[in-house]
Amino acid sequence: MKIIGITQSLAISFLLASLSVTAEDAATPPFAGKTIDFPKAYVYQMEKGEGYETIQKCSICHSFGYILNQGKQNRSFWEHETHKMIEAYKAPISPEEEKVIVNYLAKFYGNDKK
Amino acid sequence: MTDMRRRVFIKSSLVSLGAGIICTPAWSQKINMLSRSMEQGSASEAFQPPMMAFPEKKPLWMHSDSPPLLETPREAFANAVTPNDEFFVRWHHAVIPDTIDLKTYRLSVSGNVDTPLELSLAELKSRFEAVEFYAVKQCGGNSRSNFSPVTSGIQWHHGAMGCALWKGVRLRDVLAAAKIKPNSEFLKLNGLERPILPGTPPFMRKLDKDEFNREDVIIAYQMNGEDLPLLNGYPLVLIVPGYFADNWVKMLERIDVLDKDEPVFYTDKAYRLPANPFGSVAPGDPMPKETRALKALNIKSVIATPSENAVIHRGDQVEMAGVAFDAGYGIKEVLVSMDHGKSWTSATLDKDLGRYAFRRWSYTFTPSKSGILTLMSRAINRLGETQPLPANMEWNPSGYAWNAADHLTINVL
Repeated sequence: MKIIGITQSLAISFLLASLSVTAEDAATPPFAGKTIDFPKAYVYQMEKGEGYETIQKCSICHSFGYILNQGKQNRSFWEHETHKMIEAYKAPISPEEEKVIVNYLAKFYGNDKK
Repeated sequence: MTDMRRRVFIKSSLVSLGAGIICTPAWSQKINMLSRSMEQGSASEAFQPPMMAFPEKKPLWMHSDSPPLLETPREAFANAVTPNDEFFVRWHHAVIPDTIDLKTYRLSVSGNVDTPLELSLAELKSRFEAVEFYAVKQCGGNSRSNFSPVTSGIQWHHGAMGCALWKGVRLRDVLAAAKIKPNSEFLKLNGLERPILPGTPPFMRKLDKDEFNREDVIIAYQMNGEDLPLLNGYPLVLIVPGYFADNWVKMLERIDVLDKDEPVFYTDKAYRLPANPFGSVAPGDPMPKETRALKALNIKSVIATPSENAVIHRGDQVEMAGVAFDAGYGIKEVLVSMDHGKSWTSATLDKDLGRYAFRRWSYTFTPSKSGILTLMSRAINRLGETQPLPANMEWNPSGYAWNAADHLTINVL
């Protein structure tokens, strides 16, 4: 997944274009079947700070929407989640990177609750 | 769907869904506001997802663009049938084909069978008897955002569900055509989505012998009378009515028949509940060692209208409406309350569309006093099962199967 930096005006154009997609616009291809154009990657604004470069690895598999959607959680929560990504889903993250990611999430998306 | 209808939908959504909407000129402003609020360490809860239209879809709440996680707005459940372009979208992996060519697409059936099959869509349609019925598809994590404490997983509101008319062929007819051997115990099923990384477990599912012999498990090729939207699994979806949607498989491409069990991540490790009969632990406790798979739906109702925080005038008639459903035993009654559960009365049930469908219900009342009213709904089925009150809702670490009596508040002026 690429992170594309787009300006606000381009982003507005994207929104207008996406609002104008109708059911009939799903292109009827010249062959029997179906084809669609997935939208361009959405720009999720993640906190800039220590660890920002490392967390880009999360978007290898999924958008930052998954993190933001979760809301602010405590450190133990983010430890558990990050570890699950590595253990169950085989995210290519080293133990050092895992620490950096957990620190980033706990700092910028943390809620200081136990 | 015509242009006119789409514009009306967008307009009414913009009006009724309040602060969460990204309106065109204010959109860039909204993004700035969200960024700023995050920089300041805002105390706000989960990120407000933007409304985005994906191909073949009206604007839906976009929790993620890749893999796409698109939630249906609550007001859609004022109707028993969810249109294809409003139906929620949830994929597990980011590699989803954007093109299906029916010349090359095949559903393969292999393994513990005498006659392996490679079925084209045309052959599937012509060779097997078609059946058609309404069924609710509900994500295991639907309504998860209600759990307290927060669980990990997508923080859906009520919109990771829908009811459609599904048309397809019986799975067991297809297995019979492949001459499935009598000692077969399980099926492994896979669709076309793939994880980005080779090591990540693919979204495969298992069915046991009782499940794959059901006459109502079908391979559907039509949804509400049309081809499936690509984002809902065109050209084929495995429908397991009465079961949560983790058991359903989109873009079905492969059925492997097994003579004995084998571990499959998304059935044996993911989508699990604590093994006890309540499927729960004390709030905040970890998942116990003994777990069981998330399968049958539990009884549920949601209120679709009026909307949360709607402003009503004293003396105006208010129509409460929504849907109720269960695992297929049949909805007997939907009770509604206008006083936060102090008193209950029976709502009117609409036509029964079938045991697995949404059952629409409605109740009209006229508020006589000003103030904040808390409306509730609570369904009862033919077995006498009912929804727990929110305070009594059991908790599980993955936030599955939320089914507490629904509630929302309105302001009476």
